[in-house]
Amino acid sequence: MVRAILGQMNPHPAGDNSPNDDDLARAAQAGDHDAFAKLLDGHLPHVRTFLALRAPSPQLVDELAHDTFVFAFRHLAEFQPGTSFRAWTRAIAWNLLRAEVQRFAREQKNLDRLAAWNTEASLAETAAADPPREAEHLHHCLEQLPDALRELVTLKYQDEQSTDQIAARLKRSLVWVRVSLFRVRSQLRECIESKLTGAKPC
Amino acid sequence: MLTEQQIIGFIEGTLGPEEHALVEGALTTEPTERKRALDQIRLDAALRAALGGTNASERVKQSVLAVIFGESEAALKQQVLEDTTFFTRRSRREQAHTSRPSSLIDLVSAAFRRPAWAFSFAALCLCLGLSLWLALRPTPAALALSLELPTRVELPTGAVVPKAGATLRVGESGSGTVTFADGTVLHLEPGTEFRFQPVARPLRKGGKQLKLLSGALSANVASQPRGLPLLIETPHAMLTVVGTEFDLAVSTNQTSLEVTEGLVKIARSGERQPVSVAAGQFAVAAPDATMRYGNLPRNPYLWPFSSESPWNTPIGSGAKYQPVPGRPFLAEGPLTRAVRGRPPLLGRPTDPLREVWVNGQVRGDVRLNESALPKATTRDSLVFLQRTRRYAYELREVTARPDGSLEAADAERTDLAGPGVHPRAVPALPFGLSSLGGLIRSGEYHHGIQHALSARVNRERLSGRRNFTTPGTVWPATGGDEPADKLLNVGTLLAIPPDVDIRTIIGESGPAFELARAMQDYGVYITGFIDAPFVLLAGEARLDQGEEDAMLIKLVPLLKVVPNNTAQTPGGGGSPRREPAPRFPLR
Repeated sequence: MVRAILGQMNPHPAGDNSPNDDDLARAAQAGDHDAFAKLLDGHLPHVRTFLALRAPSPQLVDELAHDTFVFAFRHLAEFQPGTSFRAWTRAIAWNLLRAEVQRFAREQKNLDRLAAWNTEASLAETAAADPPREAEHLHHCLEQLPDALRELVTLKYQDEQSTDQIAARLKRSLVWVRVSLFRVRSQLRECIESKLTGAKPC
Repeated sequence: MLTEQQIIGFIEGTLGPEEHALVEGALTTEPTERKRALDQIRLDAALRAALGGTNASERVKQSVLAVIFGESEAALKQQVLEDTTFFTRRSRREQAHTSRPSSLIDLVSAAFRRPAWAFSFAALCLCLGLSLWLALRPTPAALALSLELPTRVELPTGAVVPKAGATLRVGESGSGTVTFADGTVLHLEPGTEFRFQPVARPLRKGGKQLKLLSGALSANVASQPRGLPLLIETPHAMLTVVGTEFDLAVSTNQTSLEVTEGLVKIARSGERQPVSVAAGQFAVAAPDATMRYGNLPRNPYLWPFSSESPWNTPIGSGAKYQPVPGRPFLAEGPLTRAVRGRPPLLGRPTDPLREVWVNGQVRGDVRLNESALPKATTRDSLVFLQRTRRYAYELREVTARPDGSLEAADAERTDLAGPGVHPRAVPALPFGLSSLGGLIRSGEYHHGIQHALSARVNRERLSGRRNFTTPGTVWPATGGDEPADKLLNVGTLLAIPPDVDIRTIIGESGPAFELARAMQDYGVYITGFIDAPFVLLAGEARLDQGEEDAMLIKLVPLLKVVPNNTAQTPGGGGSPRREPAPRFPLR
């Protein structure tokens, strides 16, 4: 089940390029809205995941994802078929995120401490010129999770069950569920970072 | 190193205050610990985005497509209209100057040389153009998609999925809340009817747009994107909001606006030129009258009740003065804790809405921050000022329930523009007098007190013998026992007589002077009883307790009873000692 969802998250697990993307991009450039809608289907989950990993506030994720694809549509003529549509939208999202983080940091005067730290971290991270490929790495790291942990992730994030429901389903305590989810997220973060630094994948 | 459970508890906000402070300290000083916490938050968000239900992605997709299709259709519409205009113009020109047709248009034009035919043809073109546009124009669904819909709409009956074009009505049993992704919050009064729909003229894509059909709302609007202000249309006006706080009410014949912060532009329906309404200002738009606007003469939160209210009626030249019956207030010794605070609570639109339960039934709701929740039951009324500046909720014997709602022995709604006196006693207001009346409010010790004051005395000084909790009452109080002249009554007006030169006693300025002036010009109403000889009730305005006691020790012995303060001769009648309170322009 998780694998199916991962497929949905990243329809081109082999890499950035999909043979269909070029055709769809050309058709979209010629005015075919359905083709653009298909590109949207293929790349929106990836862009949302990418943004969620760096945005200073979860509330910004959907807003920036929307802006990314509207920008992409308006600048479709600038996209060069043959290059990666995913990398192109990721770069757009990265630039929008960088601008938004600056604005967000200026305007959010009453952040709580955690939100303030998150914004501070985003400010530092988005200073880089190129977008990181964390979202792809997350996909691969999820694939490498042991079955038991993958089930936990599935219940929590795919089935959107509450901690109580998961505890009942797995016949475990609430604390066990919370701590296990904490650990699996830590494990995923370590895995992503090892891939970013080129170390041996987890 | 922090434990996993500590970090989880910090993120979820479930730690106790001490442990929260401990963890926050560690996260502040330890970058590694802070990174652990932030990684958790981000991974959580990323996993939700990657694996979560398709609703969120679908919503984003639809909003992108709405913009894209909306743009295309708008361009098509423009093209159709331009073509039609061009066609007509060319036809006329060809009629006048051309004899040899050179194109299809020219051919057609040449075929219709006679004016009647030309007119018919132009009409036909217009109809064709219009039909084409009607067929290709943005459908209601597409328009709906081009709106920014709120992330949450809560009505008294529960949360509803916001849909463009659907009329929503807030039931009479409670308030509603509309929350947008950027933090913009609209508080909707009971009975309000509204609809999310494109209202911009000309049609605009995107941004927050809604139609307020009736009722009232209070808005706390976050800074809106450039070129996409919040638009609200009412039956009488169009409002443009960039980012501010304001209250808006729609009645059958007018739309009234009061701005608390920032700036709101309002234009009467059908008029293009808007009026800018700034903080502290109001505007009223009505169909058959020019727009009224100006400064709000007073803030009903801080200076409530009508100009004719007993609370706002100055003592008149006809007032009589009698000595206070019974024992002097200082007979038991100097007054201590002679001023006690009863500050009203003001909720913001962003505060959670809490149901008010009375005898197992929801009687309404108030907005209240967690930190302001009452911790222990008080027999007195707690006053909750509500957004839209129209009402106060007065709750008696109120406590917080475990779910965050409020439990009260009784609840009563008081109109801030009304008299501040209820026609009959109710448990929330046992003598009919609003608990908001007479409180010394923020800034009044320095800028002057322009209303009567409220004081409590001990039960033994009050008349009424039927039972301990029912003293005698006189106008404007009601609901008590038969009054008696030999003692005080609830509702008795005390005042410093005009022949007392307060300046020589208290000085010519400062809090004590302002208090003395209020006691001389408006008086002090006895509003109930308390465990002390004399206690003055204050709102937000407080001084050092010693200073407060010292003031009252000097002033209280100067008070006399005004026996002819009646409904027929409020303040004793005659020429009032002060100007009447300015009228509220919107009521």
